[in-house]
Amino acid sequence: MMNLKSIGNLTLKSAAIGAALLLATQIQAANTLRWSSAGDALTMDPHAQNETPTINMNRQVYDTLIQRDQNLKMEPGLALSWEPLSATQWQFNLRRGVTFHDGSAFSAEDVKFSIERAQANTSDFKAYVNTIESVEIIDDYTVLINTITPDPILPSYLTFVFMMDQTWSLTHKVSSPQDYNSSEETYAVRHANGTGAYSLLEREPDLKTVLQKNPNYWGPAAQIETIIHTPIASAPTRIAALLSNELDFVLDPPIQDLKRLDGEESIDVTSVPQIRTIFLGLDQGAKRLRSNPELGKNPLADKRVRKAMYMAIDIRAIKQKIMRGLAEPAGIITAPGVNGYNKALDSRLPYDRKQAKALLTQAGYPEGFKIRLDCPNNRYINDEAICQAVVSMLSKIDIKVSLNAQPKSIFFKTVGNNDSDFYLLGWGVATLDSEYVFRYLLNTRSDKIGTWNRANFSNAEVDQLIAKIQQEVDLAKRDQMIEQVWKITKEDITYLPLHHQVISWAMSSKLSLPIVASNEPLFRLATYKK
Amino acid sequence: MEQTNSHTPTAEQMIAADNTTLIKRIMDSDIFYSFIRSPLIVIAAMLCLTLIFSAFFAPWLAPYDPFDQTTLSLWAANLPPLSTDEDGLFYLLGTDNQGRDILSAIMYGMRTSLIVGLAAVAFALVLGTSLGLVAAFFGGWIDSLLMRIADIQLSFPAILVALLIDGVAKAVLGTSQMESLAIYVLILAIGLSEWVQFARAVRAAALVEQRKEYVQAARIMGVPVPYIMLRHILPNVVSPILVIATISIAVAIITEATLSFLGVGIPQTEPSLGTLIRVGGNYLMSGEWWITLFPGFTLVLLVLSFNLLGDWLRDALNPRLK
Repeated sequence: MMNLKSIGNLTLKSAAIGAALLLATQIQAANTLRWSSAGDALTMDPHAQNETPTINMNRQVYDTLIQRDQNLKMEPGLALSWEPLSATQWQFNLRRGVTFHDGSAFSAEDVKFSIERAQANTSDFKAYVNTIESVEIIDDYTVLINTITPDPILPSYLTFVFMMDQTWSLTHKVSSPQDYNSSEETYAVRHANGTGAYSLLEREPDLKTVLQKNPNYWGPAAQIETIIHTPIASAPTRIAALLSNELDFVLDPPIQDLKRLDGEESIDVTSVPQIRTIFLGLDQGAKRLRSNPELGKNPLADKRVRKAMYMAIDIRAIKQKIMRGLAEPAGIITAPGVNGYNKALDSRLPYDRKQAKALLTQAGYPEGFKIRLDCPNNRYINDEAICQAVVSMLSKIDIKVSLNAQPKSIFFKTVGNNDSDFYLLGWGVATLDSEYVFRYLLNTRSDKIGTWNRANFSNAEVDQLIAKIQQEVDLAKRDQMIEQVWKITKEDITYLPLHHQVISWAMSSKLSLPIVASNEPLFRLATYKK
Repeated sequence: MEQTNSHTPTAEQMIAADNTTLIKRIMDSDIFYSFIRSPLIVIAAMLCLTLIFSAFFAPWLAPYDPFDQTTLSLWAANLPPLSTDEDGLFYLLGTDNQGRDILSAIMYGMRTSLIVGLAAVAFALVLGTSLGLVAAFFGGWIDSLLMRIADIQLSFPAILVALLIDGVAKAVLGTSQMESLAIYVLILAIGLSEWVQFARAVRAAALVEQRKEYVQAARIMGVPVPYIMLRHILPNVVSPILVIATISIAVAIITEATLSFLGVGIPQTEPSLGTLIRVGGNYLMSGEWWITLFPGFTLVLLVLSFNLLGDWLRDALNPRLK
């Protein structure tokens, strides 16, 4: 029988344990950053998945030759300097004295190995290095990169190519990237050996990732000793954890909670326009609608229909009610901060339901038509809610839209397999140059280029301009051609732009972590306020 | 001739007389007495009837049609309860993030919840009762087999069984087909997770009944077995079935809500109460409490009223408690 005394003892003991634990967490908290986001990095193989959360986790551990600072300006990474020797040849001078986490030295061989690894078949970064013909080693700290055609934006593509250790990769049989799509498991998926400010201490996919400060980091030493990432899918749970001080930083707080979080004294919220534009794609190339073959023709091929749909969207209501003010209505599908963007281009057609209805009647659809809208429900900020609003707005000009909202894994397959008439997509610009948008979204689609041009837009003039832009070294001329492409496609209403996304980070007010428009936190810059 | 005619009651008169006696019989019965004597049960019954009524007549009673896209206005989104939008429309319980009226959404959602709950219990009742009768009547290995299956299933929580069936169905049907069949799969899943209760109760009651003289007399007279089961035994085991059915409805509604809350139940296009609670849960932290609170409150009322009725019915039908 348990008497009162032993119960009392037990309480005392547990209180003591509790106090000890509390103390331990407080000591730990001073040097630890605990953070969360909805999803986890998909793999730690740095060349296997071109997805922002994955790249971000890898970027803490691996370095690139050239990197971007918190303002997205390019700065020397593992390369101290670089210069074009001719239109198709670049010289890179490497940083000396850099070591990988396992102690081995970084040299030119590792650069050649890593770029070739990124070019492998299973790599998801092929498109970033597909203009590279060969990498020549001059000496341990100098490499030459030869390109097939002139590539003026090679440096910005290289900010995504992580450098791995050749010896480590050969020892652990990971000299080619993990085949992510067939769920291959390799040593590099859960282990990492980079040169970054943090090393990978513990990795349990979808549960916990622990990073530890690299004492031999080549750059300014990081302030925080340990970084713990715990993905929490449910937004209210994530926010509750932040409010109860179980987390120090949440990467993706839902926008409906920002007002509340901002009101909390212990929490800071910062927002910045992201380099990502949300838009609607309309397949204007198909003979008939997949979701309504009975119609016999494709109304989206008619510019008046596209214009009617554009003008039926009340973007102000979406901004105010769904995005709660945290979005900038867009006129073109690229965001401020990208080369080629200018304010004059970024203007919208007015919201005018009457004129939209008139245009639709002119085009021969006085009674509207039926169509399906494909939409992701866990990729962009409030993606499904935006789609629901679009459905309701279009129904008011009698276009009957059925909504097919799916998780991103299924949605991207639907659009990628060319099975959609009408879809919502967001496009970030990794290279901060309009050419990145053109090559994926506006060039006539083939196996190599225009791969995400599911609007099946095809314009010979645009294709020619894009080909010229890709090789033009004179930046003024290049910018002029970029503007021309934007004007043509804007006039044509190739896509229906919605808004530029604004991202917000929520963190403990003791933490200072500069917000980055690429939505990639640089934890080496994080500090705790004294 | 005419005289005799005036003395024999017409068919209508007979029915009327029968009706008065039926009503009189109900009024005089013990159950009615026990019903009218417990105000809590009267309230529960009234509440239950009101909820069922407003759910099934939602298209006529609801102030708005939450699924009619053309009447939705995004500008009316996220309004708190008792507010009026700029077009002068009034929203008693507020609106959700698309400008849908919460009250209307609840009425339509409750309809889905009730349909799933009632259909699942009907399915479980028919399946459980037939298997229970068969087990009791045939005994031997059939009885052992059925009851061991029941024992095994009872060792799993009902929600787990329902989740399992739902998951298997999803794998077999594929996501796109599952969307249109979700409601039937859910009925099947919940029904299959609850048949055991019926089967065990009916078997136990039937075992007692079939040893009684009237059954043995019927057997000796050569009455066919199905006829004995349906006409003689079944009517005498109805009271436990009724009690279990009432409580099961509450359990089925909760199970459906749980599955929908977990995101594996009713899709968002035709939201049930559980779906509404799940969607509203995203706004819990942001101060828009009405989006999830009112559907949750309705669910509590619905389940509570069914549970109270079930409890009362169990006591009222138990001769030992009289």
